Amino acid sequence: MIEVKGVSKSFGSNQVLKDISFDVKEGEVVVLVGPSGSGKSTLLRCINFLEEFQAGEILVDGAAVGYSGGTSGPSRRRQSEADVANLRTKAGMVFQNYNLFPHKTAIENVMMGPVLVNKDSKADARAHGLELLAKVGLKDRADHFPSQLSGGQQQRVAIARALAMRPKVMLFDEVTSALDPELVDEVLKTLRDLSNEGMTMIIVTHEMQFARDVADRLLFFYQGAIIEDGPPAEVFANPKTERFQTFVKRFQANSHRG
Amino acid sequence: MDVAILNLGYLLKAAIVTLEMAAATVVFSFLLGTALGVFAALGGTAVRSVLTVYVYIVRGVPVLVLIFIAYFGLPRMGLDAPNYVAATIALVIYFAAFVADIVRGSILAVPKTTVEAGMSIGLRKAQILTQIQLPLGMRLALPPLVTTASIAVKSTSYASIVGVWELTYASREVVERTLAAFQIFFAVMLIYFCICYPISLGATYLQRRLKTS
Repeated sequence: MIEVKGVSKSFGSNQVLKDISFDVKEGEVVVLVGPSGSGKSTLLRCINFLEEFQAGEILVDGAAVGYSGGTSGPSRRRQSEADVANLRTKAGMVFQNYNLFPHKTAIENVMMGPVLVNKDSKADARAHGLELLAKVGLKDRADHFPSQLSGGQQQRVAIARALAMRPKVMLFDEVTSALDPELVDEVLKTLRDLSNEGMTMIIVTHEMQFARDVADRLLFFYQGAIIEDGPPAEVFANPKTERFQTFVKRFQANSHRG
Repeated sequence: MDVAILNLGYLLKAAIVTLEMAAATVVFSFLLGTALGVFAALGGTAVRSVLTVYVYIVRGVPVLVLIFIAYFGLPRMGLDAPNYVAATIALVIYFAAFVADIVRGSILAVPKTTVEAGMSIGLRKAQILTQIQLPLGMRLALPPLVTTASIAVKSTSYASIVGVWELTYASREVVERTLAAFQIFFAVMLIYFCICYPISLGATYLQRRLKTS
């Protein structure tokens, strides 16, 4: 469903992604973990082409993301704005800070993509939107503005907004990091429900317990490269690298303190 | 105040000319300024630098000088514009620069992350502009735009210098006739206030309606 092939990206002289390759199969839930600045969020943003990348290729549902004409070299070109916009609808993105449209109600946020991009009728978009809000447990908040909702509720509206485009995959970028601890569970529950329905998902997270529970596969990023890759139970039981052991230990120490 | 009341009809007639010039100045400078501001916010460096130069020039020139240039310059360019048209053109050019600067800044103040959310659901650039950047940016722009509109209304009084018969010009006529400078100018002050105050009221109403919380 998603193929990442030899993707490299630099910000100036700082290489943040070093020749990253991995595949995500349909229905698979892949969790990306790693220290801040290790490149996991950047990679997720590349998949939705919110970041450019200098070399390599990303395919979502068989279609190349962002560039045509090869993985590098002079024939490599940016795709047209229309192609990029069209491609983005295949992958639903959910951000750390929800990024809802503050001047639109919850249901208007959810309807915007279907109405403006897919040219669905308002009635159809509304009906589907209300279904999705019901699914994330917010049907009675449909006509609230984002400022009238809690962080957890806003994040669930953001998930419904992404689902409204009927994406093939969902990308979650530290979606619980900005939430108060007591609001984290309601968002994680929504993610669990989605994975149970067979949605293909890539999740960047710092929630280690959640990663162990929900992921089919765990990738550990360190300094722009993947240094652990496998089912979470296996990676946690027999880590190949010392880096991962230190990383996990630090998390356990933190969670004991908290 | 008898003098002022006696001449009120004459002053109000002149106030209508002021009102017309003010309306034309505000409408055209806001249309032109918004268009320029949008171009500057979204356009490349070339567009941006042209606008920056325009804004800097206008900021550094008094309105009155600009009105003189339009008044004496337009006929030399072969355009035989009446004095009130020349003055209004100068006012539009002057205030469009401030509007453009305000609109540009407000669009750029819309968080990049909100724009990215629009991109991620597949919106095109034009849709992001009309659905996200303009509605949110204009909410931020409203207070400084109201200030600019009020200043623009009051700046129509400069047109009296090139002989436009509007409120300030008419008030000087009445003062010369009656020698009651204080009473007449006090009345004129109230008339200007009555023109400007509704703008603030309207803006407060708009702001309350557009509030999202």
